[in-house]
Amino acid sequence: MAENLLEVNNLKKYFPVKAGIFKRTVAHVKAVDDISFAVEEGETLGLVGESGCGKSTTGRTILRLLEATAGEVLFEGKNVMELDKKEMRAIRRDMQIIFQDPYASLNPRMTVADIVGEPLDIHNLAKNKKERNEKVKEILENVGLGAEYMNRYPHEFSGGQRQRIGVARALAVDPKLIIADEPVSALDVSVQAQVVNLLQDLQKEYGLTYLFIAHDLSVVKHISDRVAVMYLGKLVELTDKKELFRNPMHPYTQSLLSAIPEADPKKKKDRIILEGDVPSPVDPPSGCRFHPRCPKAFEPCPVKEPEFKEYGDGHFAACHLLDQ
Amino acid sequence: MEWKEILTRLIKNKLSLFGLIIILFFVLVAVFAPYLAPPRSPEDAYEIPRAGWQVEPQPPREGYLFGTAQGSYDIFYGMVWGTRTAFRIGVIVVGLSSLFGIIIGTLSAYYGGIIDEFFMRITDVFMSIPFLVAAMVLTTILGKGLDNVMIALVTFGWMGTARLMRSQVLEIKNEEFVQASIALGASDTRIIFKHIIANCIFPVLIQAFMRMGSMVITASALSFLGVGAPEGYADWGQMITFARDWILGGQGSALKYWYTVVIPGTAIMLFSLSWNLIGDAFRDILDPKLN
Ligand SMILES: Nc1ncnc2c1ncn2[C@@H]1O[C@H](COP(=O)(O)OP(=O)(O)OP(=O)(O)O)[C@@H](O)[C@H]1O
Ligand code: SF4
Ligand SMILES: [Mg+2]
Repeated sequence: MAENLLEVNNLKKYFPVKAGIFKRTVAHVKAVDDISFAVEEGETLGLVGESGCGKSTTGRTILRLLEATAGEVLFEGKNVMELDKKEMRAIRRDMQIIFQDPYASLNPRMTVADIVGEPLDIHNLAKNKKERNEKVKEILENVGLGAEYMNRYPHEFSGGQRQRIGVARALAVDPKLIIADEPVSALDVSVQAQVVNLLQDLQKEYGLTYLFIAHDLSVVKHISDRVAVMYLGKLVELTDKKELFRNPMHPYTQSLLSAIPEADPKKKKDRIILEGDVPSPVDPPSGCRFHPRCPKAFEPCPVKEPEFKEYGDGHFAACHLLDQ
Repeated sequence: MEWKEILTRLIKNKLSLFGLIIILFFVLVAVFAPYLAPPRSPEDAYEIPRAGWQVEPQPPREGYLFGTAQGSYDIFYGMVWGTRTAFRIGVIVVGLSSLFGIIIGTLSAYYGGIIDEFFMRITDVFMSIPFLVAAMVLTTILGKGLDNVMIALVTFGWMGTARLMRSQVLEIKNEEFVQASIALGASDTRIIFKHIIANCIFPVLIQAFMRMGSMVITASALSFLGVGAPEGYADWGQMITFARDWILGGQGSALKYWYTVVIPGTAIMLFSLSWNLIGDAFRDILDPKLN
């Protein structure tokens, strides 16, 4: 079994909700509420869940773009949360992020050469401007963009091309881990596969490890080795991808799976339609957070929180049904 | 959008083209002042020569193209060299106060917390005092003179920029490209200059153009109120001040001394209007909704 490159232990991120003239904290958005998982070196861990369940917050807290409320993040065994400013800057070379929005994630006033060259400048990875531009050219070629684009501005590109520029920027520091926060969900369906394939090729070439965030299982099905399912700030299931699709244990995972369109039309599937909306993370439901919408909820569900634990060979889940 | 494109569009717009031409005209006047109105000695070029000791203004005539003002001061000379003064006041006052505003607004928004609290309180205090009154009081304390006028105008002129900059930076700082730069390990200086300021400087620039125009009027008003440049100093405000007692004309002719008012008045108005026209056009160009 491969080593864990990243370990997340009991991570919490609460955003204060302020109100009144004195801006007192009146409540908390429990965006990420005590989650633990690990990402093995060289694998792709998919992180899936509905909009607003805390996926981006998880990613950003790991990278300390947001400060965690509690918990620890171990990168190669080092607790990232305890690093000082200088150490943090150094470790950022090893963990990068690709953002969801290919428009907002590129500075509109910088040329492609400057955007992709920025990481090289920050970490002094090129001796002079010429060497830097050579490197930028090389990286751009690796993501499928020609050198002729170097002096253009982001607005001259399509969404797919912009996302490639974002990938190039992340690659420039030669990272070990890349957190891809819904990197294709803003793109046209026709372009999505291209970018996913690119990410897969790059993973092989550079031996990258991915934490791949997505809001449904269809993209993740293609790229992940293991999948973690998130609901309202909590992990509800985590296992090998094949195992998840074959044997989903958590009712929420089952409903997500039933929503994926089946390729083979003869195989009929009963779609589980969840009732109601996702509750607010400010005041999440008691007991199992999924109970108001769970088709299988029973007595203990509203009162007791199910424990996230292992049910055989790396298959984790949190549901009272499994203890019956 | 790049500078070249902005300039092309400024020229294509009739109003801003007019503004640009007027400003260019004033720039030329300022640059060629020594040729247009040769000073008697280079050291005191800003001292307006007098045609004599006559108190009453005299109309335009040979050698005195715009006539002479109260005290026989040469209006043409005062206007030509006053152009330099107008630019000096505008550029220095707007430049310095914008710089302070940008620094304070950026630090407040970027670091937030106590720093923000502190700077914004100070801004509120400065804003609560009416600008003209505050500038007048400070100039009176510091003493008459153009430098003191400029100090007063800078002291009470940075708050608008600070607030504008703060709101801009607050917006930009959460953009994903800024987060990306933090994730790359960029230093605060790099993030502030390359990503934040580069993306919120245009509204501040527009505001600065508008203020260039109004600053000349304010400085003239201070002169008019008697706390501006010393008597005889080439300054448009001074020229208007000379007209103070003659505005109503005299001896049955209300328009008798028109040149004392109309000439400096037109210059101040055109100067101010031009900056505003450019600022307006700038805003239209940069407003994504209008593109
Ligand atoms: N800076 C913030 N301040 C307050 N609340 C926030 C902040 N950022 C996120 N939240 C809240 O935290 C919760 C989780 O947000 P997050 O962006 O992590 O969700 P997500 O799973 O990435 O959703 P999406 O699929 O829409 O990207 C949401 O309820 C959101 O409103
Ligand atoms: S614990 Fe209860 S409510 Fe939660 S998923 Fe399992 S059955 Fe449904
Ligand atoms: Mg998100």
